[in-house]
Amino acid sequence: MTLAIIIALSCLPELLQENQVSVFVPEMLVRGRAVEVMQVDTTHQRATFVVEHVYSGGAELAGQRFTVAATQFSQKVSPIGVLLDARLKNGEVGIWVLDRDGTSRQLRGRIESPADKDSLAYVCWRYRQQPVLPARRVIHSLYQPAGSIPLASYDAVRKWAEAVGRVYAAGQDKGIRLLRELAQNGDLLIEPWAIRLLARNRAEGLGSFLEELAANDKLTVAGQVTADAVLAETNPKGWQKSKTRQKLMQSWVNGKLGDDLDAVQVKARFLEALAKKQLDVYDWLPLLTAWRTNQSWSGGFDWMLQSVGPLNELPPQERDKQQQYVVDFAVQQITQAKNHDLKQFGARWLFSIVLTDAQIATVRSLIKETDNEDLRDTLRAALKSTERQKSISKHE
Amino acid sequence: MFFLALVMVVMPEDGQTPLRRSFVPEILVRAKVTDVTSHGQNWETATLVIDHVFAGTAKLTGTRFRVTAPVVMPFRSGVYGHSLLARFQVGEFGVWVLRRAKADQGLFGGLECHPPVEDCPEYWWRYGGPAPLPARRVISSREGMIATGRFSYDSVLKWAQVVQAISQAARERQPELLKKYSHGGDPLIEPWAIRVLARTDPLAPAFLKELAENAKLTIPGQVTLDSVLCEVIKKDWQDSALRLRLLQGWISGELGDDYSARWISDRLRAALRDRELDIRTWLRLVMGWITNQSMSKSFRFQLLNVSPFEDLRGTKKQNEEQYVFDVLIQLIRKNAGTEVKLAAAQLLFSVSWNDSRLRTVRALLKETLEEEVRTELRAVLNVAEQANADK
Repeated sequence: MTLAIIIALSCLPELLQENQVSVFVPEMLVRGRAVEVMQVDTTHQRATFVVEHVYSGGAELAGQRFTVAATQFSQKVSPIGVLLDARLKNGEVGIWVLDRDGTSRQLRGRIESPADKDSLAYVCWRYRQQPVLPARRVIHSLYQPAGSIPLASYDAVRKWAEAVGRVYAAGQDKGIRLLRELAQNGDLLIEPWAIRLLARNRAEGLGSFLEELAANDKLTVAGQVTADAVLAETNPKGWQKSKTRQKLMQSWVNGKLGDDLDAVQVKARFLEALAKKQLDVYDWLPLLTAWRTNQSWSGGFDWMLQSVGPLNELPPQERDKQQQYVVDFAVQQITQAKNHDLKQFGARWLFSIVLTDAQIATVRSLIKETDNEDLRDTLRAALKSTERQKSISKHE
Repeated sequence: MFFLALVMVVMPEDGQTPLRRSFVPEILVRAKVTDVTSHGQNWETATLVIDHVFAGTAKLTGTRFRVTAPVVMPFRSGVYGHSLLARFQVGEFGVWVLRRAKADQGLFGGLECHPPVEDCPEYWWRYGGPAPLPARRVISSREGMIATGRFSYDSVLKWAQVVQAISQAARERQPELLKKYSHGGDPLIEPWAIRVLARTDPLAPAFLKELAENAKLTIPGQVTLDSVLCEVIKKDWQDSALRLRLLQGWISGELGDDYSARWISDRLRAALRDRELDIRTWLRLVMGWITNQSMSKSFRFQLLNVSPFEDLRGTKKQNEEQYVFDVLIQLIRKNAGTEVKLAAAQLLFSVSWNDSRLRTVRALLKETLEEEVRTELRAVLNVAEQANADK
């Protein structure tokens, strides 16, 4: 029995659970060609594909047919379920994940809803924030739709599918060796997937292998953020405050990022780590300050980076301690930072906290001292936010 | 020094550029921002110090230059190519092309070529899209939005290193290096090397024709090759079977990414405009592409957003219009796919109208069953009837 079958069967039910080392192991991954396309009505299509190549799943799938039901993107149609920005077309080639219809057991090509961030297609590439499957060899758009990052190309997904095929065909030992190679092969779709698959398979020596990877400056940023996520899940105590992790995160904020896609992935990882309490304010605020100091970025990129994590979920004593740290750090930035953006960052962190009377007094004196109108407005808004939160708590 | 020699060789005596889209930077440097001054709400002047010279004299290292530019403000549209998406920041690195001011020969770093943008060699070397220079090591994306086709700092740095490698090579080795990089698999370096090679090496056309048969060439490389050969050997290339094979490769439906599709779309439009592709071949190609590959509505619209008869006059115009009109009607009438029919209907907007053509389209509307195509044809008729009435 192949490694992939074992993994697929063992991990699929757990894939969507929180705090799992999520990985996407497709039970049936194929390249298919459309042989019949029916336009059901103006916006709906139903297509039949023939499997031309099997990356994972039984070889007997080759030559079988599967169907796809889809809704074309139209401004008149609300985006429910499955959307295509390019119609299905006879002869079209694509890489598809298949499943079977619950009743008829017939093969179906899956298209996940772009809105469903828990869908399988997202799981292994979560930092890419784009569903990568199905990968159709079509032209999606001249300009990417607003609010998106570029889709992975068909060719890039095909490379990944070939890697899946190689792992699927390998035996247990060979498969692990192969995954270790793929985990550092320089491909930003394959590296994260291989890292997660290794972790999910609890490969022997995983911790030390991943720590070595994290220290490998040739790893893609996509691989680095995945290695951090996996280590934070599998070895929280040993990893979260380790020197290797500090060094890795410092490399993300030292101003040397030269690619917007890398930056988006780093941001997504930081926010996730905060939300999952894999990063505390003691590390986060200096990291963010360093990033803002070392690197210039466009307006809008910093939106959401003001988050300091779910402090309210901490035990009361620890929460008070961390909140005081945030206030002290913010005041330090507001009074001492030379960069105006950093002062604004400091003021925005205060929104996350229900300020105590002493802290309110500190903010009021800051308002008096500052001569910058924007900063005064943000500080006033922070005070209002505290008032509002106190009033809500009273009513509750 | 050697690179300066190359520049001297390639700059023609009369100051005209033989290949209007080739780009040999006289001064290309990496520089670090040492000081930033704000003016008003959204203007900034940065002082940068050169810490590495890719092209130009090594003596420039340590020299300072300035850049002044507006910053894009929320809810205010910036001037494309002129504004800073991210503010200057002390310590920021970037790859810059420098020029000397006519008045005092002082160095300045340009954010853009103005006016007009289309004459900017930095812009054209990669066939449209955002200019790759300057390449600042900053995060340019808006929230979650990354501009398609924008080259990262790292990829521009790689190109700059190639510029340096060539500039430091002995003059007789430069063509050999350019040939090597012209099919190296890098979508930024290949087009540049092909253009410079065509501009500097008299024997380049023979090599480039061979390159046209190299299936591993990137699409940016292929597109550049076609553009360059059209300029250099004109009809001998434009009408050749080899070129037709190259162009047919683009429309076979095998394209696997949007970025390549955009290069091809831009190239087909420019070739039609510059008369490097006749209307009939262009029509066969775009309709072939739409037949062979599924594409989004917005892409198809942009692909066909042309005025193919604009520069034609007299009988030639009449003949070509009639030919295109007949083909479009045939495509809608016969059992072509919906996409092809919609594309044909969109192109009908570009022909001029007379009673006979109006009658044909009215009859076609009666025969057509697909509602989407009917809607498009009705829109064509509305515009055509109005145009005919105005005439």
